Amino acid sequence: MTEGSNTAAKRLLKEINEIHKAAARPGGVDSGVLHLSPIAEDSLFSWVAVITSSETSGDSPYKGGRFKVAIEIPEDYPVRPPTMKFISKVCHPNVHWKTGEICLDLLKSAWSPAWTLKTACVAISLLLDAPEPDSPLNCDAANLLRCNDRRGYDSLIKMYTSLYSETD
Amino acid sequence: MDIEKKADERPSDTEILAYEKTLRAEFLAAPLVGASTGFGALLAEFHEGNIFHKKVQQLSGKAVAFRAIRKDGNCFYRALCFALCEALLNFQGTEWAKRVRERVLDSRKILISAGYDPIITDDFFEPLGEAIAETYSIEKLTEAFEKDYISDTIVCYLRLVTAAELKLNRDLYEAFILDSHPTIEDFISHQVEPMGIESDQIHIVAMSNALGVTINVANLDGSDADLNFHDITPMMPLELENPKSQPVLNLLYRPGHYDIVYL
Repeated sequence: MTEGSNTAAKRLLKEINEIHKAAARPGGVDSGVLHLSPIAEDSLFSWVAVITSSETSGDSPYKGGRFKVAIEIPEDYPVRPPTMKFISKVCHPNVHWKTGEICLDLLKSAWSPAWTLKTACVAISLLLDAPEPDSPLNCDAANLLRCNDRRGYDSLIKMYTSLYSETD
Repeated sequence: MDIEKKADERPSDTEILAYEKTLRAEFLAAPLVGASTGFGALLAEFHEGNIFHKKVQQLSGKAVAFRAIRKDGNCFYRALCFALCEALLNFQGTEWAKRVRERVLDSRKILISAGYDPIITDDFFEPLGEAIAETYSIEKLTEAFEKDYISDTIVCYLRLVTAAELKLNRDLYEAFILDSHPTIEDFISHQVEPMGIESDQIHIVAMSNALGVTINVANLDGSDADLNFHDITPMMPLELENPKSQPVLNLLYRPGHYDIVYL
């Protein structure tokens, strides 16, 4: 291990600790992030998250959906961002239908080391209900929004959410 | 890059970033903080008769040395911090050094007031805390700044201090930001916090105010006038008995880049 990856490991252990502490606090769990942890005890640099819509009121078409996100962490984390992509199928204007790639500037050019894996997951859950149809990775979904066909969009998303949502 | 891709398969963001990196490889091969040199190499970058060439000549008449900083978008913070740590060593034991160290240590509290979580940000403070220690030497300083993760962590911390300064004193800065960004938070998340994003006048003013140091920028722009200097003094200066005798941190500005000069 290089000295840089020691820094990353130290930071990741802290983040695990904070996630446990938050889980123990009443109301400490964020509504949009159902699960976030390393995939195995000995794999500090590969994590998995389960994300849902963070809208508690209202009528999100993603409501009830549970979507897995694979997180790969570079050795120079947190200076460089983690790679995060959906492994569950998600129909969303800013998510690539085939690869699960997520178009979110904070995962690329706007990443700051002050973000954590947790806050990045929260941002992804917020992205579900705040799509940016003008920078689409999924043009079919984005075009419905661009034509102001909100009903068509919602029913398409609802259908895919019920088809591909992960079970508990 | 794989140009055989079908029309509907755009390159992934990762591929785009990798490609950008190859374009910038030449710059990224340079040391993070170069050795202190004369002005020969800098002069050679410009054609004789060019306005930049003329201004470098003017500068070399006034300055004693030049230190190149890597062109990676983090140059302002890296240059400023190296110049600051170097000045702390040169002015060891003075009231100025004592007060600057206090300001740097206090910056951790300022980050908390601005809403940053100390559990995360204290990690970023550590290398800077070591670099400003009285026991440091110029050799150790150069060595530390040449290590990516130390040097970048310091840059990251100063970015957060800049962000906190902007947030906590928004009345001072908003007028300069709101014509290009909807809120100061938006400006911070796009122009301050991310690594590799270049700095502007407002970042320099914020750093000067936050650290209480005077920053003098030799302005090597393309205008026809003679080489000029921008003296940026803090609005909340350090409490010094003899404020006139404090060191000034000298930087050289060229469009899109900052280096260190010694006057």
